[in-house]
Amino acid sequence: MSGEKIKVIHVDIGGCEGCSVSFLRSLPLISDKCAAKTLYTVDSIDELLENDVDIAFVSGSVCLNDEETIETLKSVRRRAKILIAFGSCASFGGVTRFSRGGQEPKPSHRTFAPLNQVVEVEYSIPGCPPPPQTVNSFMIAYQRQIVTQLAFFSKLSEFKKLSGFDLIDDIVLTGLCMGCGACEVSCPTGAIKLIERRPNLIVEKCIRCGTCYVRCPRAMQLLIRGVKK
Amino acid sequence: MMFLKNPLGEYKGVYLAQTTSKEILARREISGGVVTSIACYILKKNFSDAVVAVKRTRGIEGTIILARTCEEVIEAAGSKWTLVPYMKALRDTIIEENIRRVTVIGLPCQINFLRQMKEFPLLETDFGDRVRFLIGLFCIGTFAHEVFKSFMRSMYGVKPSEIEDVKILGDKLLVYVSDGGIVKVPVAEALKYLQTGCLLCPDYTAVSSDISAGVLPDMPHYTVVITRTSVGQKLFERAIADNVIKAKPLDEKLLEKLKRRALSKMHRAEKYAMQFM
Amino acid sequence: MSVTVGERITRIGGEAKLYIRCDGDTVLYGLFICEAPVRGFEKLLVGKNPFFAVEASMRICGICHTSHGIACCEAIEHAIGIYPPRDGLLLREACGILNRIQSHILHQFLILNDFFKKGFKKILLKNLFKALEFCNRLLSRIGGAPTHPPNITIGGLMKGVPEARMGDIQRDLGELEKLVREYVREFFLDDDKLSNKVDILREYNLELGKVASHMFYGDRFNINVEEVSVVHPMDLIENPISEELRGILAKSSALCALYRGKKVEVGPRSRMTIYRGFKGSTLYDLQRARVLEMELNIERLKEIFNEVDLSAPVRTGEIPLRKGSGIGVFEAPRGTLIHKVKLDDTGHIESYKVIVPTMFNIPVIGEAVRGIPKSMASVIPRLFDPCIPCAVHMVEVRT
Repeated sequence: MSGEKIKVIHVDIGGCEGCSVSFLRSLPLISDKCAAKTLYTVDSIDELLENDVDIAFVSGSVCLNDEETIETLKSVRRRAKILIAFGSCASFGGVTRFSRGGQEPKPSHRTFAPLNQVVEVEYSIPGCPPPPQTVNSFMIAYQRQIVTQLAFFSKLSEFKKLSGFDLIDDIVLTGLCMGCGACEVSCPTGAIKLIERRPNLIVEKCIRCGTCYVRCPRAMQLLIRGVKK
Repeated sequence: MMFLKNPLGEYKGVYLAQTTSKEILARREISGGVVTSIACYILKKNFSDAVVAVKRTRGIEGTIILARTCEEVIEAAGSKWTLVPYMKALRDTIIEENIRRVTVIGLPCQINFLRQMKEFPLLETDFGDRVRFLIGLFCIGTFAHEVFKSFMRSMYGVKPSEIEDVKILGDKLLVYVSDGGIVKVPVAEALKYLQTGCLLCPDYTAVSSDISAGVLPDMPHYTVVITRTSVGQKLFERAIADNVIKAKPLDEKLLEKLKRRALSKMHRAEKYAMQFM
Repeated sequence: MSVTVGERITRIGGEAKLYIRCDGDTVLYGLFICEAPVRGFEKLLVGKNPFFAVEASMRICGICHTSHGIACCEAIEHAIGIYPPRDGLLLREACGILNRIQSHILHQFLILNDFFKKGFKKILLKNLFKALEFCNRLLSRIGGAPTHPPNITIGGLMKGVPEARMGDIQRDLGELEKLVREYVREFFLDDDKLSNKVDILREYNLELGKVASHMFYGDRFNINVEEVSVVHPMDLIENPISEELRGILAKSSALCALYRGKKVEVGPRSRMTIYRGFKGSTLYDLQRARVLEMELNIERLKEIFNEVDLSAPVRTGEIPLRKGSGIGVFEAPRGTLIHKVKLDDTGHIESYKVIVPTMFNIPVIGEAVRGIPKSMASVIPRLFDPCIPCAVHMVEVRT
């Protein structure tokens, strides 16, 4: 495929920078597929925020009380053909779902929401943080248009909330869990332990990243069929 | 991440196969012993450092084993009927013992999960790069342990502690009891005691594997093998070339039967999924 | 006098602007204003179980995650009166050191364009990516993951390292050492490879008081937390404050920290100066100290791996959740990090305060730009490796 490489940027609008570091680490893996820029590589912010791009990976949840952040997000949306919520905060709110506000110097920063609360998102890739390989896998799926994989992340972009609590409510309490153990190896904090073949959620360790839910075979099956959450 | 267009998924070939090892065939009784043979072959040729399988501990209970030798693989052979959640144990063992390449033998849901992990890792602790081959087993569903045991007790007077082994032959479930007897349970009856979660699964033949294997009741001493990826196909062909197994393409009639079974599982899944819409 | 100019700084960890007031081409003074939204970790922890605090506080920052986790554990352990076993502490220190090295390596990416001549960029990127991956591998092995390591917990570590894996660890450490040494000796300390921006940095001094609690870990007895005060950046400007300045300062979503009422520098140079007799007061020395600190940290890691008994327990047996107050201090990559916790009768969090190193350094950045050429202004914040998500977690202003 000759011609210009597709233009990719990564922007963090208020996360912990964990996803930004992950994206930086993916640069050697994706350099053959696209020309990527992040805050860590550019000399001027205009290189990130002024030009049109093919794909924008956006991390961090959006502070609904901060006009500037909302404007930045909308601006990125306008100039990107495809916008990807990269990481759990951007996809489902993540740990910022616990934010309350009330703190100086910005006590009004109360509500943090996933990107799809404010703009249209084509794909959501959860993880706290997603590993660098995920970026590479996505770029491969995108280039080759692997419909099954893309459809999966496209479906995820419709959700505004997923967590270990949802896993218990939707899958375990409904009797759908068959004890495959996928959730136990899908939790970055070790909040899920299988006890007598069923997941137990250690509530104080759940940071609402939603990774367990998207890896549960039963949960994903229902989501893909369009079961409303 | 499954979108089943065909009941059997994507595949390169469907075969009827059998092990050439008399020992394995004798041990397996009801099956062609192909999975066991291929697992042994993989270890012998050093294509993997270990084979992950479930070994029966008692009755329908099982535990994960990481087999390094043929003997260990053979000991673990046989249908288990239950889902052992071995993912965490697998991950921990891979890390603690620094195992570079494993072959995993598992049920469709486990295979699908590992395939997803390989293609799209979502955690730094994912170990998909260490999984070399995925061998899927045909699966109609797994039992809810407690329910099955209490069903055996109430309908057949068999105490949970007395259940030694469970095999399937034709349309009967053979429950081997500790006093030496065998209780025959019609499969249709036993299927009522599958886990609800299993009833929603549309995947009979483990569509995400490299190689899938199972037994059709019409041919109890043979294994039906489906090769799906070039990796799986190559492995299968090498095993044949090295005379570890013998195989021929599955004939049309049996292939139709296989498709019908897979389709009926898909329909069952559809039916149960509707309840949740 | 020219008007205050604000520029969004790139190649730092997060969203911040530098506003400078110039006289011709010379900077008179500067304001480093963090503008990322305030997620409010202190408030969100109130009422929660302390175990949640460990997981959540790591997510204050995806770069110095482990440092927060450790400081949090230290504070809670202090509050409930427990102490991890010796080998748990050693492995925890190893995690902290690996995080520090990891963060410093990342920082070398960020200053590449400023410090090195263009021609060396490609090979440096290769070297740095490799070094980073070895560092991440080590942190995965001991901490459980290279980011937000789940092994860090109250009382020590969730699980230890199997003896059988020590060989792999030593091997990875050997590779990391080689790569870091190559970077330091053959690139950073080779003047021929450095850009002329570095020459300019060598001409300007910054000599403020320094604070550091420990060379490798953290020590709540080496800093008097009571004498740390937190102020709004507006309070550091002499009155009268112009409308324009007020508008700029009001945007700040970070507060500043002072020690004994004064602006103090924290970070690698402070640690190296106080504990290792480092001498160097120029702006360039800020980075030199950071780079040399990497090598020292690797030496300490080697010591730890030789000392630690992998067969011994790594976590204390009892974790009582009860009333208490505690302070945890850890030397994060950017400087002294303080977590303060108060637990109520049921052992849940009654109040939580975090003072991060960047809060100390925000006013110091303002001092550091005084008198430098305007063209160099955007480089200065990078020398302090500011961590914006840390700085804007928020802290309550003392009234």
